[in-house]
Amino acid sequence: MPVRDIVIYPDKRLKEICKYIQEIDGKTLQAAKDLLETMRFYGHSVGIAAPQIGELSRIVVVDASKAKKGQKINHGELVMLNPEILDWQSIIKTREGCMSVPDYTGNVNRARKITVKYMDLDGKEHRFDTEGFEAVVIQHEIDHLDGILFIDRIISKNTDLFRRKNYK
Amino acid sequence: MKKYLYAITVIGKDKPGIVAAVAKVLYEKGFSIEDSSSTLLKDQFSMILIVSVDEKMSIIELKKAFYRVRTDLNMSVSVRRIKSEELKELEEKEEEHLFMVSVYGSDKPGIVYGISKTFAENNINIIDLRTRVTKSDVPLYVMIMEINVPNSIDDDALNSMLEDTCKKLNVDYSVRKVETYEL
Repeated sequence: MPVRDIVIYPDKRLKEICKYIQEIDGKTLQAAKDLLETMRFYGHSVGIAAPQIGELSRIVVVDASKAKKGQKINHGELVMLNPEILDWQSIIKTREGCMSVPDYTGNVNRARKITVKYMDLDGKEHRFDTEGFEAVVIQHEIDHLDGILFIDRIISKNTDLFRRKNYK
Repeated sequence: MKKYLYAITVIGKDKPGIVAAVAKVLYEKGFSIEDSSSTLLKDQFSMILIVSVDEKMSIIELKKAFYRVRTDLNMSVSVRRIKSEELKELEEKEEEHLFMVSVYGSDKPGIVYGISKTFAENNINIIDLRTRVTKSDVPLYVMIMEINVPNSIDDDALNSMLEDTCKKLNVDYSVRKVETYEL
């Protein structure tokens, strides 16, 4: 099973909380391999999370270097097991689309800078700081592991200007 | 199956229950809400909807269906058929070059006209627009819009046309490119 079909919402698997990986067994390795091959297959794809191919375990793959916007800051192709955001700074607004929700895009708030921790396929722990496009990609993919779609993070319908209630 | 489309607008003094009353009529008559936007303008709740239905219904009949919305909730309701020729245009989608533009300054006549005239002359399409004005001693006018710019106009050209127009109007502006992250 190399390149896998992308799970499309309203498939319920996209709303599940994925299981932590306790032990890197054959199933984990296969899922990681399939994720990588699927991401490589879709030329525009810079990240996929395991539930998007129907695997409910905490694996994401990202490759911000594939996109123009990710050229400046990226850590290349990464397979991240049990990824976790340890710290974040400042907020940016992005407009995001998702392969699993193909008909919509939405304005979403994301952290501009993050510190992320993950385990690689050899079980070794890594942590790094990143910002901008790569940080957004990682946050989007980690959200998938918790059943969160960008639609859940939309904070405002369209333009963001509200009349302030009068203060005394 | 062929679908019949209608454009509906509903506007009137805001109160709880307007959306529910409108949705009830549509649901009971077998309409689907295809696309809609509703917001509060001053104290007037305003709904614009494109709805579809499998069986053709006359405008009179549809208007009649909103009788209670008009009388009990005191809303004005307008209904228009969307012809199938118009639909084709809706479905054709070209590549978009989207920008958010903010224009703001002390209130004076002609801000919206001046800006939109410049855009119209350059074949720039306004796809979303919000304007507001404050009630303070020096009223501040704010116009926020999303525009789709033809391929032939680059960032510099867009900037310089806005700069010229805004200088004449004595207002400030800023432009942000809207980029979609495909993840």
